[in-house]
Amino acid sequence: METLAAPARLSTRERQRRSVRGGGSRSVPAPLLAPSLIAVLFLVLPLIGLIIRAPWGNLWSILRNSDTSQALRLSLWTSTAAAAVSLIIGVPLAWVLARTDFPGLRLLRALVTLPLVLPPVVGGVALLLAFGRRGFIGRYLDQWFGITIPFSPAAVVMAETFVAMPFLIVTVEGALRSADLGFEEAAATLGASKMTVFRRITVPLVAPSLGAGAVLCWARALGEFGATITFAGSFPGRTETMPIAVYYALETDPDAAIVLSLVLLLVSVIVLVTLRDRWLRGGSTQ
Amino acid sequence: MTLGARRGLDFDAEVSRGEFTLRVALTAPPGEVLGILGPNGSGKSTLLSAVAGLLPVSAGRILIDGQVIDDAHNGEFLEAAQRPVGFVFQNYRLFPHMNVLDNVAFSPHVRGLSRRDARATASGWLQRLGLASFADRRPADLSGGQAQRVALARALAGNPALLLLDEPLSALDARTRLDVQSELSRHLADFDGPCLLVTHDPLEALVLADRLLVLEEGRIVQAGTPAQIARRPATEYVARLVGLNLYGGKVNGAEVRLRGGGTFVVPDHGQHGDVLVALRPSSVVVSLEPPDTSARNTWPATIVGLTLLTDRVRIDLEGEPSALVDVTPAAVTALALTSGRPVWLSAKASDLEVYSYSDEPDHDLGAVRRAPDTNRHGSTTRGPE
Repeated sequence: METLAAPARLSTRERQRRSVRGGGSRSVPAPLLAPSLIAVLFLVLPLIGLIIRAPWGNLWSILRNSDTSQALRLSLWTSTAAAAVSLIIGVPLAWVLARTDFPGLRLLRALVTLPLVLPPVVGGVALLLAFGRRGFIGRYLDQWFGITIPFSPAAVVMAETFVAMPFLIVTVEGALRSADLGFEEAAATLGASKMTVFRRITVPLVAPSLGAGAVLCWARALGEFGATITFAGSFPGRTETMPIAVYYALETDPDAAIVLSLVLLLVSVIVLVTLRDRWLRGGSTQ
Repeated sequence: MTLGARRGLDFDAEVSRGEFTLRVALTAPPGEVLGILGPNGSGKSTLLSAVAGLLPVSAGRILIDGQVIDDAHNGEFLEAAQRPVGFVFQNYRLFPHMNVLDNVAFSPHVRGLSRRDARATASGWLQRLGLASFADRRPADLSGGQAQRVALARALAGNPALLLLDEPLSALDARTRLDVQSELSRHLADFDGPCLLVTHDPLEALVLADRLLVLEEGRIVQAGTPAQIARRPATEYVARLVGLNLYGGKVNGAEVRLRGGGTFVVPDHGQHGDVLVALRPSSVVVSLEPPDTSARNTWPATIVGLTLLTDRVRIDLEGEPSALVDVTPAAVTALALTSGRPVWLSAKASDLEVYSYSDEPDHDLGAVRRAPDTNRHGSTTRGPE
């Protein structure tokens, strides 16, 4: 028999861990360890910088400053409106994508999810070309009804919806696809119309995914920058949302930029915690 | 168009699902519990789905109380929600986000009652099925037997003209099954309309059904009362379900030439032609020497397997003909019966049930060769005598 390698020492604690959890060594090989540490630092250091540099002393006064609070309020209500619009028109579309079959369905699905990968600024340009004063729809809105959308809070909501709704649609469509059709069949045999089935069975059963999708959509809308600034501009109090305010404040009032960023960071952390069980563990939406 | 307003269910149709085709003609009058017995993949659930409107028929039509609900010829189709059908699904499919009361109130409510009236109706049904104390529970907090009753209450609360039950007891463990079974049998007796009960469990079918259809590969292979089917199975599948040996052969007076080899002496009723012979495993006697007995049938065979059933041992024997034989565990030890051992079998002529089953001429019974009975109840021979 060949001579065995010299045994290494296994601590009592490690013995305990292996006997309880099973599996072999948990040590990380050096070529993997260094890059992972760099990745962690790269992701975390900027956030630490934000916290270190924050003007903790005047936090409250900056927040209460009218420009800042205006941006905060605008951002909150427009992103909430965008999430609401997405729920109202996006959930029915998710149902259509998940439950029906017609020629062009695949194309439609691709189109609907396009904003997920499209640079937001391109979305803003596209919105401008469609709904701008000389856009092919906006022209008639202006001529016939005297409505001009661009550079208004409505434009902010539209830009945010355009970019954020696909997140909701994709989440809900996935949930609808994996949902057990047995319950819907049962409801049908009990006399429920298709609409009743949707309202009383389908939607309640995918409610967790609906909630997750709505939160994700809202968070995306809150952070929207490119499409918004292109289509809605940056009029303080009217269309200047938080991310846009951060961008401009960085030149004039860096402290305000940091405080606004901190607020957005806080919101993101809250969203993460809310969705923790859905995305951080296992990654499934069900 | 209705041809004679026959009451109950009138199903004469074909349902295609990919390669599989179900082709069945059956009627079920009001008040009858029609059991549909068949192996997995025989089309039982497809049949229920077609009646409920979850699947359309591809040919033929379905009528309830003389009214067409599906007709492939002229395209008439009544959507599932409009059919007066109560469906108890295999896994009950109780709505997990509603409590028991709202589950049961669902059908009355969507069929037009106000929420309050629907709940009152539901309460009535819960009371009737002894579920009143579970009204506030979620389905997840119910035992299997309770969930089964809630599913039944929910189906009945919609006031259906027809009740469909898909393997109503299969999700229950063996102990609760017996309790729920007798209770279910009571509730089914109270129901006015026809009731289709699908099952692959012969005991369930024998106990619950007034009449049985045996379905194999999308066709009805036998129809009759549970007693008839238990005594004179038409196919190998049915024979195995009811725990009988079944042989196909040609009778000439008192002698049956079996298609798989061997002959049987049977009571002479002057019959001729193709017949089936059923033999109860407990009617066969096993001995080590050629038996000195009045039994008219004795033949050598070799043991190929032994299975312990609850209170007896089922021996699988190869010979001409092969047979399943039930003996006591004591006999197994006393005679040292083991696999590979040659023995002698004997059976009285009067224990052989000889009958013709001309409806199924192409069924190849020459190759009848049963596997050891693995039925989980070990009590399938308990059919009505």
